[in-house]
Amino acid sequence: MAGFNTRLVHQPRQNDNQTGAVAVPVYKATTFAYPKIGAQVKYDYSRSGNPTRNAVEEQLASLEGGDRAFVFASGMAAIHAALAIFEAGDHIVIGDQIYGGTFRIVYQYFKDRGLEFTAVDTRDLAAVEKAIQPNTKAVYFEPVTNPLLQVTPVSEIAQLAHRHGILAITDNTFLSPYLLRPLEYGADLVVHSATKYLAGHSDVSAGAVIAKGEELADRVYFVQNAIGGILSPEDSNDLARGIKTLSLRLDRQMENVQAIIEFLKKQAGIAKIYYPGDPDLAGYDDLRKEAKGAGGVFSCELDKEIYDPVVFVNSLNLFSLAVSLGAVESLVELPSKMSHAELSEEEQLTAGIKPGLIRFAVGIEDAADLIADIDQALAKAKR
Amino acid sequence: MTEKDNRSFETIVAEAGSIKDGANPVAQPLYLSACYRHPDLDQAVNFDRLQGFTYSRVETPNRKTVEGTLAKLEEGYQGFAVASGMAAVQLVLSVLKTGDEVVSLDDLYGGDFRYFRHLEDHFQIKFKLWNGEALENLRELLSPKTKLVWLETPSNPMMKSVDIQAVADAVHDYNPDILVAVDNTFYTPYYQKPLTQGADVVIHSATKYLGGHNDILGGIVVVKDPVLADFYFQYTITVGDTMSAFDSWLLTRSLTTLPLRMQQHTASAKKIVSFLEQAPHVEKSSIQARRG
Repeated sequence: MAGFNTRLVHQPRQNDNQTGAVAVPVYKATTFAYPKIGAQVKYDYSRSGNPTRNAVEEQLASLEGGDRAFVFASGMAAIHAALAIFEAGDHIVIGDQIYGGTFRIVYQYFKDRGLEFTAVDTRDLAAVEKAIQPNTKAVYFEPVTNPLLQVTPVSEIAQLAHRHGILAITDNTFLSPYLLRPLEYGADLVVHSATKYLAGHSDVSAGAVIAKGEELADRVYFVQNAIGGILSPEDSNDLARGIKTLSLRLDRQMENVQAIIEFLKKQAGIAKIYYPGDPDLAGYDDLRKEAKGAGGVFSCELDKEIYDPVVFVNSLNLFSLAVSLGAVESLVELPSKMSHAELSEEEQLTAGIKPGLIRFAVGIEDAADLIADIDQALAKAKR
Repeated sequence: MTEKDNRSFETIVAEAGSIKDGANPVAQPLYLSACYRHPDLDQAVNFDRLQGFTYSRVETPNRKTVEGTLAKLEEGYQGFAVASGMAAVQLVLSVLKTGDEVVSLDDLYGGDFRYFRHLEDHFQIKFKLWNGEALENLRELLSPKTKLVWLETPSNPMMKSVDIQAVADAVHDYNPDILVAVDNTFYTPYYQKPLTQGADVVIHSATKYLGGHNDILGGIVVVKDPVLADFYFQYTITVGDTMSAFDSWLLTRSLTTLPLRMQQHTASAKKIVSFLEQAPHVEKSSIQARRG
């Protein structure tokens, strides 16, 4: 098999015998003609299969080392599809630091449809094992969590899950297959918000599920085709276009994160930095067992005696105050007021979200400019 | 290179873009690819631009579809899709050399006159104006230097109507090599096909009725003569102001409803004109209508 970077650039060819187009065309047709009645055709209706979507699905299956992949209109549509393969009465162990939108779909949607969930800190294998019940069907977790970047090695959860005859489902949004391929470490299903690193340009909402094994793939395909939350042909093309530069972007993003962290380490009043890609910081040893790097997101805590965090985020110029992550442009977020605002202050503190916690999603700009931006914002935020 | 299509106008536009490519999509895929694989060196070296694709400036599948569809609708030999209506005007006038003369109708889109003045100032190409009335006056304006006669019918804004066949006959009697070019933006091929009435070249601002949704800029040129088609092709790929694949795809999509839209435009315009004819403060209203 060709190397990873080669597979980023070369999509499986879909139509090359017709025109030779180097970029897979955007098949906008909703329906496909049968040459004659009873003919075996690959495509008949665009919800069931589309050549442009199929190209990026085959590519993602290859990049994650899975058998088949399915793309959806958003990350949440992908997560929904991965969980919709279960039935009422099934129980799933979930990470207690997973993305808030996943919590919402779990507790406000699937719970009402008869699924049961137990949330645990997946870094604690004993806690995960203790949560497994006779009707447990899967462990769903994020190998690196948001915004505290807690690391759970995939192989540990996968081995435990398989010992109990259940599935390991991994949300790999935070690392992407460039940095971690959970299926190679025993996971059975991988989900992505492809809106983040995979598409990488803040211009496509997309999700993906990558499955190991035909049986599991068929269950996910059934949901994709039956419910139809598919990714449009144009967005499939934009996603594929983003994937081509995945490794270039992540390499630059990680370089920039490291440069910013070196700068922050020298500043007074930075209480803590969360980034498992740095050998000096928590999670590094666990991350390095399986992943090539920690990605472009890191968090830090401003000492609230020294800095006003609200003034800090309001004073940044290059870092846009916006949700999402993983794109070419840098973003910043204040979890206590934005992503985790629904939690009470007490719940926030239990979850490790302090008022001074800042989450950076670093882009591919010049590191010196990003550091200068943070420097001037820190100066303005000084009490 | 576009064969005559005997199907009705409505059928041609409804079927535009329905292709057989293995997947048999009913709507043509959008080919954003800038370049195209050649199966081997021999095919790359002896590449046939009429059969295949090599580079998106030269041709794209989507542009080829919209160009072929318009060539059919205008009953011409080849169509060219460019980035704007003015790019189409420029393409048509690319046959002119310093010292050449053009006879033009005196009531045209202002952008045309602006470009005519540019050609006069920079290349000493002379433009003579005809008022669209007596053919004797037109004949008097022709000279051995005349290369092209430019018409717009109906004209904008005065709605002058010109008999294309009579003009083409008069011009070609004088010299069959003079090109008669007609801007058909106002009627579209749904109401008027200048190439069937003796004209040599048809021009469109596709931004108007052909596009019809105020979401694409485009220009179309359709010609009858293969030699002229080749000249325009060489010029287009040299200047490179071609219509993008996406705009070509959208324009093809727009064409499918062109008959419906034109019928409604005409019905609505007629009602408004009837209203204005009753209105006490309107001195004159002009409407030209074909086929209803």
